[in-house]
Amino acid sequence: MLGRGMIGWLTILLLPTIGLGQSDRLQVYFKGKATLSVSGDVPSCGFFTSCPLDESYCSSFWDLFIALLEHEKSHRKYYTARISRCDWGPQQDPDSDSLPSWWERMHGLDPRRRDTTGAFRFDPDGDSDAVAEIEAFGALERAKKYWRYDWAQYSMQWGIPPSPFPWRYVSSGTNISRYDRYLLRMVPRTGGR
Amino acid sequence: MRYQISSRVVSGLVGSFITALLWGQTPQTAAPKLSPLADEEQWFAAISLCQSSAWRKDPALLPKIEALFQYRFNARAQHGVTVDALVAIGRIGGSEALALLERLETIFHKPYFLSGAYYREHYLPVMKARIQADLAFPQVRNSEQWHQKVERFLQEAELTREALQEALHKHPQRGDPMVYPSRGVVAVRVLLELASEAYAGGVKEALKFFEGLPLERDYPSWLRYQLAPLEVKQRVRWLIGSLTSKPAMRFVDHYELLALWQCGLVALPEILAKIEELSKLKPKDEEEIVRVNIGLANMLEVLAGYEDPRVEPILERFAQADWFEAEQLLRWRRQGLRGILIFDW
Repeated sequence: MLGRGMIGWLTILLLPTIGLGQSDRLQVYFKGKATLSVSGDVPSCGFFTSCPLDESYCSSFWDLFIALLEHEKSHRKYYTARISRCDWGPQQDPDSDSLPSWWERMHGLDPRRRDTTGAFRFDPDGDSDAVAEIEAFGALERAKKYWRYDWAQYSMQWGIPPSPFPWRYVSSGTNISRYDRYLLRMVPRTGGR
Repeated sequence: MRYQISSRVVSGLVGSFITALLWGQTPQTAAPKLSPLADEEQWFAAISLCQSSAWRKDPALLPKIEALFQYRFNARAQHGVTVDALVAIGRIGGSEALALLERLETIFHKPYFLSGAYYREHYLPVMKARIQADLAFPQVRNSEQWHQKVERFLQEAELTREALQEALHKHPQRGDPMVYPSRGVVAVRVLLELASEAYAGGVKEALKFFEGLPLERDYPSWLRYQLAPLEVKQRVRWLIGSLTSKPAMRFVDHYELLALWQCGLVALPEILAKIEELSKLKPKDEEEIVRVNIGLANMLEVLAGYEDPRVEPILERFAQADWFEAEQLLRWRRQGLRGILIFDW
Protein backbone atom coordinates (compact mmCIF):
# COMPACT_ATOMS: atom_id res chain seq x y z
CA MET A 1 0.00 0.00 0.00
CA LEU A 2 1.19 3.48 -0.74
CA GLY A 3 1.28 4.98 2.71
CA ARG A 4 1.27 8.60 3.71
CA GLY A 5 5.04 8.44 4.01
CA MET A 6 5.36 7.59 0.37
CA ILE A 7 2.97 10.36 -0.55
CA GLY A 8 5.19 12.76 1.30
CA TRP A 9 8.17 11.48 -0.65
CA LEU A 10 6.29 11.74 -3.91
CA THR A 11 5.37 15.30 -3.11
CA ILE A 12 8.89 16.25 -2.23
CA LEU A 13 10.36 14.51 -5.25
CA LEU A 14 7.88 15.82 -7.75
CA LEU A 15 7.55 19.36 -6.51
CA PRO A 16 10.74 20.64 -8.14
CA THR A 17 10.03 18.85 -11.40
CA ILE A 18 6.64 20.38 -11.99
CA GLY A 19 7.90 23.90 -11.83
CA LEU A 20 5.55 25.38 -9.30
CA GLY A 21 6.42 28.71 -7.82
CA GLN A 22 7.71 29.17 -4.28
CA SER A 23 4.35 30.34 -3.03
CA ASP A 24 2.51 27.29 -4.26
CA ARG A 25 1.53 24.34 -2.15
CA LEU A 26 0.99 20.94 -3.59
CA GLN A 27 -0.97 18.26 -1.79
CA VAL A 28 -1.49 14.76 -3.05
CA TYR A 29 -3.70 12.25 -1.31
CA PHE A 30 -3.77 8.76 -2.66
CA LYS A 31 -6.74 6.89 -1.29
CA GLY A 32 -7.67 4.70 -4.18
CA LYS A 33 -8.53 8.01 -5.73
CA ALA A 34 -6.39 11.05 -5.66
CA THR A 35 -7.17 14.62 -4.97
CA LEU A 36 -4.69 17.34 -5.40
CA SER A 37 -4.59 21.00 -4.77
CA VAL A 38 -2.25 23.65 -5.90
CA SER A 39 -2.65 26.87 -4.05
CA GLY A 40 -0.75 30.07 -3.75
CA ASP A 41 -1.33 33.80 -3.77
CA VAL A 42 -4.80 33.56 -5.13
CA PRO A 43 -8.15 34.63 -3.75
CA SER A 44 -10.14 31.97 -1.98
CA CYS A 45 -12.71 31.49 -4.69
CA GLY A 46 -11.88 27.89 -5.14
CA PHE A 47 -9.85 27.68 -8.32
CA PHE A 48 -7.05 25.76 -6.70
CA THR A 49 -8.70 23.69 -4.09
CA SER A 50 -9.05 19.99 -4.72
CA CYS A 51 -11.03 19.81 -7.92
CA PRO A 52 -11.93 16.14 -8.19
CA LEU A 53 -11.78 15.19 -11.84
CA ASP A 54 -13.32 12.69 -14.16
CA GLU A 55 -11.19 9.63 -13.60
CA SER A 56 -12.65 7.61 -16.41
CA TYR A 57 -9.76 8.47 -18.69
CA CYS A 58 -7.09 7.74 -16.09
CA SER A 59 -5.91 4.17 -16.01
CA SER A 60 -3.28 4.46 -13.29
CA PHE A 61 -2.14 6.48 -10.34
CA TRP A 62 0.31 8.34 -12.55
CA ASP A 63 -2.37 9.20 -15.08
CA LEU A 64 -4.44 10.58 -12.23
CA PHE A 65 -1.52 12.48 -10.84
CA ILE A 66 -0.70 14.09 -14.18
CA ALA A 67 -4.31 14.86 -14.97
CA LEU A 68 -4.99 16.39 -11.55
CA LEU A 69 -1.88 18.46 -11.64
CA GLU A 70 -2.56 19.74 -15.14
CA HIS A 71 -6.17 20.45 -14.19
CA GLU A 72 -5.09 22.72 -11.36
CA LYS A 73 -2.35 24.27 -13.46
CA SER A 74 -4.93 25.12 -16.10
CA HIS A 75 -7.00 26.94 -13.47
CA ARG A 76 -3.91 28.84 -12.46
CA LYS A 77 -3.08 29.71 -16.06
CA TYR A 78 -6.50 31.28 -16.65
CA TYR A 79 -6.39 33.04 -13.32
CA THR A 80 -2.94 34.48 -14.06
CA ALA A 81 -4.14 35.57 -17.50
CA ARG A 82 -6.99 37.39 -15.70
CA ILE A 83 -9.63 35.41 -17.57
CA SER A 84 -10.81 33.33 -14.64
CA ARG A 85 -11.77 35.63 -11.78
CA CYS A 86 -14.13 35.61 -8.82
CA ASP A 87 -15.12 39.23 -9.14
CA TRP A 88 -16.44 39.69 -12.67
CA GLY A 89 -19.85 40.50 -11.24
CA PRO A 90 -23.31 39.66 -12.59
CA GLN A 91 -22.99 41.90 -15.65
CA GLN A 92 -19.84 40.31 -17.04
CA ASP A 93 -20.29 36.84 -15.58
CA PRO A 94 -24.05 36.30 -15.12
CA ASP A 95 -23.75 32.53 -14.62
CA SER A 96 -21.03 32.91 -11.94
CA ASP A 97 -18.72 30.30 -13.41
CA SER A 98 -15.76 32.67 -13.08
CA LEU A 99 -15.42 33.07 -16.87
CA PRO A 100 -16.56 36.33 -18.47
CA SER A 101 -19.30 36.22 -21.09
CA TRP A 102 -17.06 37.52 -23.90
CA TRP A 103 -14.57 34.71 -23.37
CA GLU A 104 -17.29 32.08 -23.13
CA ARG A 105 -18.84 33.25 -26.44
CA MET A 106 -15.42 33.23 -28.08
CA HIS A 107 -14.91 29.59 -27.05
CA GLY A 108 -18.36 28.26 -27.75
CA LEU A 109 -19.50 28.13 -24.14
CA ASP A 110 -22.90 29.39 -23.04
CA PRO A 111 -22.44 32.58 -20.98
CA ARG A 112 -25.87 32.06 -19.40
CA ARG A 113 -25.22 28.55 -18.15
CA ARG A 114 -22.52 27.72 -15.69
CA ASP A 115 -22.40 24.16 -16.99
CA THR A 116 -22.59 24.32 -20.79
CA THR A 117 -21.42 20.78 -21.38
CA GLY A 118 -23.74 19.22 -18.80
CA ALA A 119 -20.81 17.27 -17.41
CA PHE A 120 -20.25 19.27 -14.23
CA ARG A 121 -23.59 19.33 -12.52
CA PHE A 122 -22.08 19.30 -9.05
CA ASP A 123 -19.60 22.09 -9.71
CA PRO A 124 -20.28 25.70 -8.82
CA ASP A 125 -17.93 26.82 -11.62
CA GLY A 126 -18.72 24.10 -14.15
CA ASP A 127 -17.40 25.70 -17.36
CA SER A 128 -14.08 26.60 -15.74
CA ASP A 129 -13.71 22.98 -14.74
CA ALA A 130 -14.70 21.78 -18.21
CA VAL A 131 -11.89 23.84 -19.72
CA ALA A 132 -9.40 22.66 -17.09
CA GLU A 133 -10.44 19.08 -17.64
CA ILE A 134 -9.99 19.32 -21.41
CA GLU A 135 -6.54 20.78 -20.94
CA ALA A 136 -5.68 18.12 -18.37
CA PHE A 137 -6.71 15.42 -20.79
CA GLY A 138 -4.64 16.98 -23.54
CA ALA A 139 -1.64 17.05 -21.24
CA LEU A 140 -2.19 13.43 -20.30
CA GLU A 141 -2.24 12.46 -23.96
CA ARG A 142 1.02 14.34 -24.46
CA ALA A 143 2.52 12.57 -21.47
CA LYS A 144 1.53 9.23 -22.92
CA LYS A 145 3.22 10.27 -26.16
CA TYR A 146 0.24 9.59 -28.38
CA TRP A 147 1.76 12.02 -30.82
CA ARG A 148 4.11 9.21 -31.86
CA TYR A 149 1.27 7.44 -33.61
CA ASP A 150 1.23 8.72 -37.17
CA TRP A 151 -1.52 8.76 -39.74
CA ALA A 152 -0.66 5.26 -40.95
CA GLN A 153 -1.52 3.77 -37.56
CA TYR A 154 -4.58 5.89 -36.82
CA SER A 155 -6.06 6.71 -40.12
CA MET A 156 -8.21 5.87 -43.05
CA GLN A 157 -6.36 2.77 -44.10
CA TRP A 158 -7.93 1.09 -41.06
CA GLY A 159 -11.32 2.68 -41.65
CA ILE A 160 -12.66 5.59 -39.64
CA PRO A 161 -10.61 5.56 -36.44
CA PRO A 162 -12.15 5.76 -33.00
CA SER A 163 -11.73 9.18 -31.50
CA PRO A 164 -8.70 9.31 -29.24
CA PHE A 165 -10.65 11.75 -27.07
CA PRO A 166 -13.19 10.22 -24.69
CA TRP A 167 -15.33 13.37 -24.65
CA ARG A 168 -18.85 12.92 -25.72
CA TYR A 169 -21.38 15.71 -25.81
CA VAL A 170 -24.89 14.80 -24.83
CA SER A 171 -26.19 17.09 -27.57
CA SER A 172 -24.62 15.13 -30.40
CA GLY A 173 -23.47 11.83 -28.90
CA THR A 174 -20.04 12.54 -30.39
CA ASN A 175 -17.07 14.55 -29.30
CA ILE A 176 -18.29 17.49 -31.35
CA SER A 177 -20.94 19.57 -29.67
CA ARG A 178 -23.97 20.41 -31.69
CA TYR A 179 -23.72 23.93 -30.37
CA ASP A 180 -20.15 24.93 -30.71
CA ARG A 181 -17.27 24.26 -33.00
CA TYR A 182 -14.60 25.80 -30.83
CA LEU A 183 -14.39 24.11 -27.46
CA LEU A 184 -12.41 21.10 -28.59
CA ARG A 185 -9.84 23.27 -30.31
CA MET A 186 -8.36 23.62 -26.89
CA VAL A 187 -7.41 19.97 -26.80
CA PRO A 188 -3.86 19.74 -28.08
CA ARG A 189 -3.78 17.74 -31.27
CA THR A 190 -1.58 14.77 -31.94
CA GLY A 191 1.97 15.95 -32.31
CA GLY A 192 1.65 17.93 -29.11
CA ARG A 193 0.47 21.13 -30.76
CA MET B 1 23.31 7.78 -26.49
CA ARG B 2 23.83 10.17 -23.62
CA TYR B 3 20.07 10.23 -23.09
CA GLN B 4 19.91 6.43 -23.11
CA ILE B 5 22.54 6.16 -20.39
CA SER B 6 20.94 8.80 -18.25
CA SER B 7 17.51 7.23 -18.65
CA ARG B 8 18.93 3.87 -17.53
CA VAL B 9 20.47 5.48 -14.50
CA VAL B 10 17.21 7.21 -13.66
CA SER B 11 15.25 3.97 -14.14
CA GLY B 12 17.67 2.18 -11.81
CA LEU B 13 17.35 4.82 -9.16
CA VAL B 14 13.56 4.92 -9.38
CA GLY B 15 13.45 1.10 -9.25
CA SER B 16 15.60 1.03 -6.12
CA PHE B 17 13.52 3.77 -4.54
CA ILE B 18 10.25 1.94 -5.14
CA THR B 19 11.71 -1.36 -3.94
CA ALA B 20 12.87 0.36 -0.77
CA LEU B 21 9.49 1.86 -0.15
CA LEU B 22 7.57 -1.33 -0.75
CA TRP B 23 9.95 -3.41 1.40
CA GLY B 24 8.10 -5.15 4.18
CA GLN B 25 4.63 -4.63 2.75
CA THR B 26 2.29 -7.39 3.86
CA PRO B 27 -1.14 -8.43 2.60
CA GLN B 28 -2.62 -6.53 5.56
CA THR B 29 -1.08 -3.28 4.41
CA ALA B 30 -1.68 -3.88 0.72
CA ALA B 31 -4.12 -1.52 -1.02
CA PRO B 32 -7.70 -2.75 -0.89
CA LYS B 33 -9.09 -3.89 -4.19
CA LEU B 34 -11.57 -1.25 -5.22
CA SER B 35 -14.79 -1.99 -6.95
CA PRO B 36 -14.93 -0.61 -10.49
CA LEU B 37 -16.45 2.80 -11.09
CA ALA B 38 -20.22 2.71 -10.94
CA ASP B 39 -21.97 3.80 -14.10
CA GLU B 40 -24.31 6.74 -14.64
CA GLU B 41 -27.41 4.63 -14.20
CA GLN B 42 -26.31 3.44 -10.74
CA TRP B 43 -25.45 7.01 -9.84
CA PHE B 44 -28.91 8.27 -10.83
CA ALA B 45 -30.52 5.43 -8.91
CA ALA B 46 -28.46 6.41 -5.85
CA ILE B 47 -29.42 10.09 -6.05
CA SER B 48 -33.09 9.25 -6.61
CA LEU B 49 -33.14 6.85 -3.69
CA CYS B 50 -31.65 9.42 -1.32
CA GLN B 51 -33.78 12.32 -2.49
CA SER B 52 -36.96 10.27 -2.16
CA SER B 53 -36.47 10.63 1.62
CA ALA B 54 -37.92 14.14 1.27
CA TRP B 55 -41.31 12.49 0.86
CA ARG B 56 -40.83 9.06 2.35
CA LYS B 57 -39.13 8.99 5.75
CA ASP B 58 -39.11 5.23 5.63
CA PRO B 59 -36.57 3.20 7.65
CA ALA B 60 -36.85 0.53 4.93
CA LEU B 61 -34.70 2.85 2.78
CA LEU B 62 -31.76 2.60 5.18
CA PRO B 63 -30.29 -0.75 4.04
CA LYS B 64 -30.48 0.46 0.43
CA ILE B 65 -28.73 3.71 1.35
CA GLU B 66 -26.06 1.78 3.24
CA ALA B 67 -25.47 -0.37 0.16
CA LEU B 68 -24.58 2.77 -1.82
CA PHE B 69 -21.34 3.07 0.10
CA GLN B 70 -20.09 -0.13 -1.51
CA TYR B 71 -20.15 1.51 -4.93
CA ARG B 72 -17.23 3.49 -6.18
CA PHE B 73 -18.34 6.58 -8.07
CA ASN B 74 -16.04 9.11 -9.65
CA ALA B 75 -14.94 11.80 -7.23
CA ARG B 76 -17.55 14.43 -8.07
CA ALA B 77 -20.39 11.93 -8.16
CA GLN B 78 -19.19 10.36 -4.91
CA HIS B 79 -19.45 13.66 -3.05
CA GLY B 80 -22.99 14.21 -4.37
CA VAL B 81 -24.13 10.73 -3.37
CA THR B 82 -22.46 10.89 0.06
CA VAL B 83 -24.05 14.23 0.94
CA ASP B 84 -27.46 13.13 -0.32
CA ALA B 85 -27.19 9.83 1.59
CA LEU B 86 -26.18 11.51 4.86
CA VAL B 87 -28.99 14.04 4.60
CA ALA B 88 -31.44 11.24 3.85
CA ILE B 89 -30.29 9.19 6.85
CA GLY B 90 -30.69 12.23 9.12
CA ARG B 91 -34.13 12.88 7.69
CA ILE B 92 -35.34 9.29 8.11
CA GLY B 93 -34.09 9.24 11.70
CA GLY B 94 -34.67 6.70 14.46
CA SER B 95 -32.29 4.37 16.26
CA GLU B 96 -31.55 2.37 13.09
CA ALA B 97 -30.37 5.50 11.31
CA LEU B 98 -28.20 6.35 14.29
CA ALA B 99 -26.63 2.89 14.17
CA LEU B 100 -26.04 3.29 10.43
CA LEU B 101 -24.22 6.58 11.02
CA GLU B 102 -21.97 4.78 13.51
CA ARG B 103 -21.14 2.18 10.87
CA LEU B 104 -20.48 4.85 8.28
CA GLU B 105 -18.01 6.49 10.62
CA THR B 106 -15.88 3.36 10.25
CA ILE B 107 -16.20 3.48 6.46
CA PHE B 108 -15.17 7.14 6.43
CA HIS B 109 -11.99 6.11 8.25
CA LYS B 110 -11.01 3.77 5.39
CA PRO B 111 -8.10 5.15 3.42
CA TYR B 112 -9.83 4.64 0.08
CA PHE B 113 -12.90 6.69 0.99
CA LEU B 114 -12.41 10.10 -0.56
CA SER B 115 -12.80 13.04 1.85
CA GLY B 116 -13.86 10.72 4.69
CA ALA B 117 -12.39 13.10 7.25
CA TYR B 118 -14.58 15.91 5.92
CA TYR B 119 -17.81 13.93 6.35
CA ARG B 120 -16.74 12.77 9.82
CA GLU B 121 -16.05 16.31 10.94
CA HIS B 122 -18.84 18.27 9.27
CA TYR B 123 -21.79 16.05 8.36
CA LEU B 124 -21.88 13.11 10.78
CA PRO B 125 -22.16 15.12 14.03
CA VAL B 126 -24.96 17.24 12.60
CA MET B 127 -26.96 14.29 11.32
CA LYS B 128 -26.51 12.47 14.62
CA ALA B 129 -27.63 15.60 16.46
CA ARG B 130 -30.69 15.87 14.26
CA ILE B 131 -31.67 12.28 14.95
CA GLN B 132 -31.17 12.71 18.71
CA ALA B 133 -33.22 15.92 18.72
CA ASP B 134 -35.96 14.29 16.64
CA LEU B 135 -36.04 11.29 18.97
CA ALA B 136 -36.35 13.57 22.01
CA PHE B 137 -38.97 15.85 20.41
CA PRO B 138 -40.68 13.99 17.56
CA GLN B 139 -43.41 16.58 17.26
CA VAL B 140 -42.95 20.17 18.33
CA ARG B 141 -46.22 21.62 19.54
CA ASN B 142 -45.23 24.88 21.18
CA SER B 143 -42.47 27.43 21.39
CA GLU B 144 -40.99 25.93 24.55
CA GLN B 145 -40.59 22.52 22.93
CA TRP B 146 -39.01 24.17 19.92
CA HIS B 147 -36.44 25.93 22.08
CA GLN B 148 -35.68 22.68 23.89
CA LYS B 149 -35.28 20.87 20.59
CA VAL B 150 -32.88 23.53 19.25
CA GLU B 151 -30.91 23.42 22.49
CA ARG B 152 -30.66 19.64 22.32
CA PHE B 153 -29.62 19.77 18.68
CA LEU B 154 -26.88 22.34 19.28
CA GLN B 155 -25.63 20.49 22.32
CA GLU B 156 -25.40 17.20 20.41
CA ALA B 157 -23.67 18.88 17.45
CA GLU B 158 -21.28 20.67 19.84
CA LEU B 159 -22.29 24.05 18.44
CA THR B 160 -23.66 27.35 19.71
CA ARG B 161 -25.65 30.09 18.02
CA GLU B 162 -22.45 32.16 17.87
CA ALA B 163 -20.66 29.29 16.15
CA LEU B 164 -23.44 29.16 13.54
CA GLN B 165 -23.05 32.89 12.98
CA GLU B 166 -19.32 32.55 12.52
CA ALA B 167 -19.67 29.57 10.19
CA LEU B 168 -22.04 31.53 7.96
CA HIS B 169 -19.66 34.50 7.89
CA LYS B 170 -16.83 32.22 6.83
CA HIS B 171 -18.85 30.27 4.24
CA PRO B 172 -17.10 30.59 0.83
CA GLN B 173 -19.07 32.46 -1.77
CA ARG B 174 -17.49 31.07 -4.93
CA GLY B 175 -16.04 27.96 -6.50
CA ASP B 176 -15.65 24.40 -5.26
CA PRO B 177 -15.36 25.22 -1.52
CA MET B 178 -19.03 26.25 -1.62
CA VAL B 179 -20.02 22.62 -1.90
CA TYR B 180 -18.03 21.64 1.18
CA PRO B 181 -20.02 23.53 3.84
CA SER B 182 -18.66 23.56 7.36
CA ARG B 183 -20.42 21.89 10.29
CA GLY B 184 -22.05 25.18 11.32
CA VAL B 185 -23.53 25.77 7.87
CA VAL B 186 -24.78 22.18 7.60
CA ALA B 187 -26.37 22.66 11.04
CA VAL B 188 -28.14 25.86 9.93
CA ARG B 189 -29.60 24.06 6.91
CA VAL B 190 -30.83 21.17 9.04
CA LEU B 191 -32.24 23.51 11.69
CA LEU B 192 -34.12 25.37 8.98
CA GLU B 193 -35.71 22.13 7.83
CA LEU B 194 -36.75 21.40 11.42
CA ALA B 195 -38.01 24.98 11.81
CA SER B 196 -40.06 24.71 8.59
CA GLU B 197 -41.73 21.57 9.95
CA ALA B 198 -42.41 23.27 13.29
CA TYR B 199 -43.77 26.37 11.54
CA ALA B 200 -46.07 24.25 9.40
CA GLY B 201 -47.23 22.57 12.64
CA GLY B 202 -48.28 25.93 14.03
CA VAL B 203 -45.18 27.02 15.98
CA LYS B 204 -44.74 30.42 14.35
CA GLU B 205 -41.88 31.40 16.69
CA ALA B 206 -39.65 28.72 15.18
CA LEU B 207 -38.21 31.10 12.60
CA LYS B 208 -37.25 33.72 15.20
CA PHE B 209 -34.13 31.74 16.04
CA PHE B 210 -32.67 32.71 12.67
CA GLU B 211 -33.20 36.45 13.00
CA GLY B 212 -29.83 38.16 12.91
CA LEU B 213 -27.99 35.22 11.35
CA PRO B 214 -26.34 36.14 8.01
CA LEU B 215 -28.35 33.55 6.06
CA GLU B 216 -27.71 35.39 2.78
CA ARG B 217 -24.15 34.00 2.95
CA ASP B 218 -25.54 30.51 2.27
CA TYR B 219 -28.13 30.49 -0.50
CA PRO B 220 -29.81 27.17 0.44
CA SER B 221 -30.33 28.47 3.98
CA TRP B 222 -31.60 31.83 2.77
CA LEU B 223 -33.99 30.14 0.36
CA ARG B 224 -35.35 27.83 3.05
CA TYR B 225 -35.88 30.77 5.39
CA GLN B 226 -37.82 32.64 2.70
CA LEU B 227 -39.95 29.63 1.82
CA ALA B 228 -40.71 28.42 5.36
CA PRO B 229 -43.57 30.84 6.15
CA LEU B 230 -45.27 30.24 2.80
CA GLU B 231 -47.98 27.68 2.20
CA VAL B 232 -47.18 25.01 -0.37
CA LYS B 233 -49.19 26.68 -3.17
CA GLN B 234 -47.63 30.08 -2.47
CA ARG B 235 -44.24 28.40 -2.41
CA VAL B 236 -44.86 26.77 -5.79
CA ARG B 237 -45.97 30.09 -7.29
CA TRP B 238 -42.97 31.94 -5.89
CA LEU B 239 -40.50 29.34 -7.13
CA ILE B 240 -42.04 29.08 -10.60
CA GLY B 241 -41.98 32.88 -10.86
CA SER B 242 -38.34 33.00 -9.84
CA LEU B 243 -37.22 30.11 -12.05
CA THR B 244 -38.88 31.54 -15.14
CA SER B 245 -37.47 35.03 -14.84
CA LYS B 246 -33.77 34.37 -14.51
CA PRO B 247 -31.28 36.02 -16.86
CA ALA B 248 -28.78 33.17 -16.25
CA MET B 249 -28.51 29.96 -14.26
CA ARG B 250 -25.95 29.97 -11.50
CA PHE B 251 -25.04 26.96 -9.37
CA VAL B 252 -27.08 28.14 -6.37
CA ASP B 253 -30.20 28.56 -8.52
CA HIS B 254 -30.44 24.79 -8.73
CA TYR B 255 -31.55 24.76 -5.09
CA GLU B 256 -34.72 26.48 -6.28
CA LEU B 257 -35.28 23.55 -8.65
CA LEU B 258 -34.83 21.17 -5.73
CA ALA B 259 -37.23 23.21 -3.56
CA LEU B 260 -39.88 23.19 -6.29
CA TRP B 261 -39.51 19.45 -6.87
CA GLN B 262 -39.75 18.83 -3.11
CA CYS B 263 -43.12 20.63 -3.06
CA GLY B 264 -44.39 17.38 -4.56
CA LEU B 265 -47.13 16.64 -7.05
CA VAL B 266 -49.03 19.73 -5.87
CA ALA B 267 -46.68 21.68 -8.13
CA LEU B 268 -47.32 19.59 -11.24
CA PRO B 269 -50.46 21.36 -12.62
CA GLU B 270 -48.81 24.76 -12.25
CA ILE B 271 -45.61 23.54 -13.91
CA LEU B 272 -47.58 22.09 -16.82
CA ALA B 273 -49.51 25.33 -17.21
CA LYS B 274 -46.30 27.36 -17.16
CA ILE B 275 -44.69 25.17 -19.80
CA GLU B 276 -47.69 25.72 -22.10
CA GLU B 277 -47.66 29.45 -21.40
CA LEU B 278 -43.96 29.83 -22.13
CA SER B 279 -44.01 27.68 -25.24
CA LYS B 280 -46.68 29.93 -26.77
CA LEU B 281 -44.56 33.05 -26.31
CA LYS B 282 -42.70 34.49 -29.27
CA PRO B 283 -39.99 36.61 -27.66
CA LYS B 284 -38.13 39.03 -29.90
CA ASP B 285 -35.18 40.59 -28.09
CA GLU B 286 -32.24 38.48 -26.94
CA GLU B 287 -32.76 39.05 -23.20
CA GLU B 288 -36.33 37.83 -23.44
CA ILE B 289 -35.41 34.81 -25.56
CA VAL B 290 -32.80 33.78 -22.97
CA ARG B 291 -35.26 34.26 -20.11
CA VAL B 292 -37.95 32.15 -21.79
CA ASN B 293 -35.49 29.41 -22.75
CA ILE B 294 -34.01 29.22 -19.27
CA GLY B 295 -37.51 29.24 -17.77
CA LEU B 296 -38.63 26.41 -20.04
CA ALA B 297 -35.49 24.38 -19.36
CA ASN B 298 -36.04 24.81 -15.61
CA MET B 299 -39.69 23.76 -15.75
CA LEU B 300 -38.79 20.72 -17.84
CA GLU B 301 -36.09 19.71 -15.37
CA VAL B 302 -38.49 19.74 -12.42
CA LEU B 303 -41.18 18.05 -14.49
CA ALA B 304 -38.80 15.23 -15.42
CA GLY B 305 -38.45 14.37 -11.72
CA TYR B 306 -42.13 13.47 -11.29
CA GLU B 307 -43.64 10.04 -11.62
CA ASP B 308 -46.62 10.92 -13.78
CA PRO B 309 -47.83 9.69 -17.20
CA ARG B 310 -48.02 13.28 -18.53
CA VAL B 311 -44.27 13.80 -18.13
CA GLU B 312 -42.73 11.75 -20.93
CA PRO B 313 -44.95 12.94 -23.80
CA ILE B 314 -44.05 16.56 -22.98
CA LEU B 315 -40.34 15.81 -22.83
CA GLU B 316 -40.60 13.88 -26.11
CA ARG B 317 -42.38 16.82 -27.74
CA PHE B 318 -39.59 19.19 -26.76
CA ALA B 319 -36.89 16.69 -27.70
CA GLN B 320 -38.40 16.38 -31.18
CA ALA B 321 -38.38 20.16 -31.43
CA ASP B 322 -34.59 19.98 -31.02
CA TRP B 323 -34.49 20.92 -27.37
CA PHE B 324 -31.13 19.69 -26.14
CA GLU B 325 -32.20 19.92 -22.49
CA ALA B 326 -35.33 17.84 -23.10
CA GLU B 327 -33.30 15.14 -24.85
CA GLN B 328 -30.93 14.97 -21.91
CA LEU B 329 -33.73 14.94 -19.33
CA LEU B 330 -35.54 12.22 -21.21
CA ARG B 331 -32.39 10.11 -21.28
CA TRP B 332 -31.82 10.63 -17.54
CA ARG B 333 -35.44 9.87 -16.78
CA ARG B 334 -35.29 6.63 -18.75
CA GLN B 335 -32.17 5.74 -16.79
CA GLY B 336 -34.16 6.12 -13.58
CA LEU B 337 -33.43 9.60 -12.27
CA ARG B 338 -36.27 10.99 -10.18
CA GLY B 339 -35.01 14.08 -8.51
CA ILE B 340 -32.78 17.05 -9.17
CA LEU B 341 -29.06 16.76 -9.76
CA ILE B 342 -27.88 18.92 -6.89
CA PHE B 343 -26.66 18.34 -3.34
CA ASP B 344 -29.58 17.69 -1.04
CA TRP B 345 -29.78 20.30 1.72
